[in-house]
Order: sequence, then structure tokens, then C-alpha cells
Amino acid sequence: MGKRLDLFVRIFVLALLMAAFSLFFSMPGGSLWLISSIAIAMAVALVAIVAASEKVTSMKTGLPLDDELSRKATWKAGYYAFVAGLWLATGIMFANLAMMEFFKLPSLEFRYAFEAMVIVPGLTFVVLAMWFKKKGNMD
Amino acid sequence: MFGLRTRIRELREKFSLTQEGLAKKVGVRRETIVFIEKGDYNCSVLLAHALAKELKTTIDKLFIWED
Repeated sequence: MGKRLDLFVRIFVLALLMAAFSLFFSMPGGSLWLISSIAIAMAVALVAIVAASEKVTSMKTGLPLDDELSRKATWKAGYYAFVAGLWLATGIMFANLAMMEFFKLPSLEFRYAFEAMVIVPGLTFVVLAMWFKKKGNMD
Repeated sequence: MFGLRTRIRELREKFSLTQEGLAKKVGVRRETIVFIEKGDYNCSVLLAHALAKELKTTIDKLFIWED
């Protein structure tokens, strides 16, 4: 991928994340909401620390931070995380419909569905990217 | 089904290059060299060319496909 496109994708993802988190933290909620919000913020901080330490190691050794294998692993993990997000969104939608129509239960609160939509694809991406980088062969 | 074997380790040792040294020369991470040496990763033609050039050989002599 070209450097300009790469930069554009990074800025776009960052903007999306900032918008998502602004919405996420501005919503009212109870203690579960607060705990899960803190857990997500901690996970983001952890990812940032790992990324920074990788950058420092790369600068010390003079080896590149990413190459064709790591980029392939990252993109493949991103693809699976996206698919996981789509399936999850569809599942939540139908589960919510079924709960309301067949069991006469109240509708699922938006904030919990949103939280799941942040956590599941995010975790899928981090775990799969690490796994693919460790495994090497992704074919 | 075919298997991919490489002569990277053999040639790297011939030129007294470490995995890290070779990785620096071709601009990849050390782990990538490890995976290619073990035959766990099928690298791009561009990287194969860079490796062959650094190890003063050709791609067909560096990578051996076994039926």
C-alpha cells in the first residue's frame, strides 16, 4: 500500500475511533457501564504502550517495524474482525427482535450493543493479528 | 501438494550473516527471515529477489520446490 493511502487509512481509523469513543463516553449509564468503559480505555492504553515499545525496539535494532508479512497479517486480521463485527451486528439485531417479539422482553439497550460492537471486533483484530504474526504462514 | 525448501540459512552462513543482519539488508523484520528459512512463509517475488541478490544467487537456486 502506498504511503499516502496508508496515512489516509490511519487518520480515518483514528477519526472513527475518536468519534466512537466520544459517543461512547457521553452516554449515561450505571456502574457496569463505567467499569466496562474503564476496561476499554485500559485496553486502548495497553495497545498504545505495546505499539510504543515495539517502535522503540525497532529504532534500537534498526530493523523495520513492519514488513510484508506483518502487513499481510494485520490486513487479514482486520478483514476477520470486520466480518466478526458484521455477524455480531446481525446477530444482535435478530436476537433483540426475537427477545421482544417472542419473549416479550424489553429491547436491548443501545449502549450494551455498542459496547459489544467495540469489544468483539477489537479483540478479534488484536488476537488474530498476534496469531498470524506468530504463525507466519497465513495461506 | 508441494513443499518449499530454501537455501537461505546455508548461504547466509556462508557469507557469515546473522538473521538480523540479513533482515536489515533486505528491509524486513528478523521474524520474517526465520519464517522464510523454515519454509513457513511464502514471501513475495520482490523479497525473494532481494534475498537472492544479497546472497549472490538466483531465486530458483534459493527456493527449491519439492513435489
